[in-house]
Amino acid sequence: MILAVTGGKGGVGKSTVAYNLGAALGAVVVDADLGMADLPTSPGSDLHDVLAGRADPLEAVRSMGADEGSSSFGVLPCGRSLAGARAADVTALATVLEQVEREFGAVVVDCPAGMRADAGVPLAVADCAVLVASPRPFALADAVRTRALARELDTALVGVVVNRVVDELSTETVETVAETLGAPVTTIPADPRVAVSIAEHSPLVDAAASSRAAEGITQLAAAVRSYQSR
Amino acid sequence: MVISIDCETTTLSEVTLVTVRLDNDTPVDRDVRLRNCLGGPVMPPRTDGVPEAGWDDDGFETVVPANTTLAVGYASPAPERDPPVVVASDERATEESDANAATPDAVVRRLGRATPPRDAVPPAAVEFSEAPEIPASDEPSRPDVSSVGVDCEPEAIRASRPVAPLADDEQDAEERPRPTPPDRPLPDSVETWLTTVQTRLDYAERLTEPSVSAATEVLADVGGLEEVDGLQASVDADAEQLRTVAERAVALADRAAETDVALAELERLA
Repeated sequence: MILAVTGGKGGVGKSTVAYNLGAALGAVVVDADLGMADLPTSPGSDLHDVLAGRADPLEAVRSMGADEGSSSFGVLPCGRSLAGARAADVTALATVLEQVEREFGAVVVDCPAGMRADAGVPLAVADCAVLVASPRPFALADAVRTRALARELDTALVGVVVNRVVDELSTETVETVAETLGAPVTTIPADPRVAVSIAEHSPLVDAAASSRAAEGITQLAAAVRSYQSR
Repeated sequence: MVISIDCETTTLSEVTLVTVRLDNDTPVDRDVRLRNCLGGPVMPPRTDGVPEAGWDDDGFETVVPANTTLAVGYASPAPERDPPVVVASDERATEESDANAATPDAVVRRLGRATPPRDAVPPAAVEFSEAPEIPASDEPSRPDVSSVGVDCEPEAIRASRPVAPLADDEQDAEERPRPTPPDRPLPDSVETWLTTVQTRLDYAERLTEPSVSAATEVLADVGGLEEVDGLQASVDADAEQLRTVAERAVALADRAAETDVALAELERLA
């Protein structure tokens, strides 16, 4: 299964949701933000090299969670250089994601912001998508546009994440969002542990398993699994 | 065959350009397949580097709507031949059409690539990330000395290799007057272009009537004789471009000097 974590707008927390959801699912998280990558990288080949035909996709996957008791998942990081972004061919992403899926089973793609092909191709390749939005009206408008793109590309929407919620959303608001975007809504409260989870290599499901944010991620992972088993 | 075909060919710089007109006079849509008959590969029209929908290695497939004329064209590096292209099949169109399928190519055609522009990529690609893969000095640096702003992917790949600063440790570099950076910094793209030109010019100067040892040194710097191939042509093109830019810059500066925005009057009117 290939799951796209998308959202239209930048800075709404797509990468943190993708990383934590990937850990919860035991998937490989692919950082497909070719121009502005977020997920941590380490020495070795990355997605820029893979999409330029210079490296094998499977060799670029890093294993995470080697410590005992922590979730085991993978990360395929992306390079940071502009030259690398320019040399990367986004049309090659389809075969790369399919190859990673064949080897590792589940793939979570952290999509870039915007409505260009770098956001569209992973969405087109994915079996289903999770839409991340911030609880502000203007961010919701971008989520609606991305929802339309996903629909056009025949990608099913498994869930909507309203991320970094400070004041509890009213049932009415949640219903409106769910109705507008056409998928069940998961709210993830603003929690500093979510923000540092990537930098500290500690996914929420391990670091703060009983937090409400981790609960949201687990709920989302369950929705993805149930979609997959359908 | 219901569809009628009309072709024209033009040859430009050893490339044959083929124009095809397909007339469908019938009241039904026709699914038409064209086959290239030229003795070379098909170079189809592209959007963002991706061939337009319907093109493949052999030719083109499309639906010509009822009572419509459709014009298409392609190129091939093969000599002209008569006919350049034939209708391989012509059938009544069915409902199905996969032209809008969500393939990566179709997505690129519809949404456009988000690749950073060439000007945004530093020519010497000084990696500002952690850049762990770059070897310190094992691999000889091969600066790009021959390209003249031709936009191609290998260029970007080559640009990602580290490049040693030019002739920093050479004595004659000190003797040569080097332009000092202006007080007001130039726009990045202009600075990048000028630096690239200057690098090429430096090599060309060092290879103008050089001694054997100097020539060997330069060739070792740039990575061999084949890297120098085309250098003179590139430098000539640079000279022409620089003169054009200079003329235009002077003309614009003159115009700029003559302007005086009447802000006070505008404020009063507002």
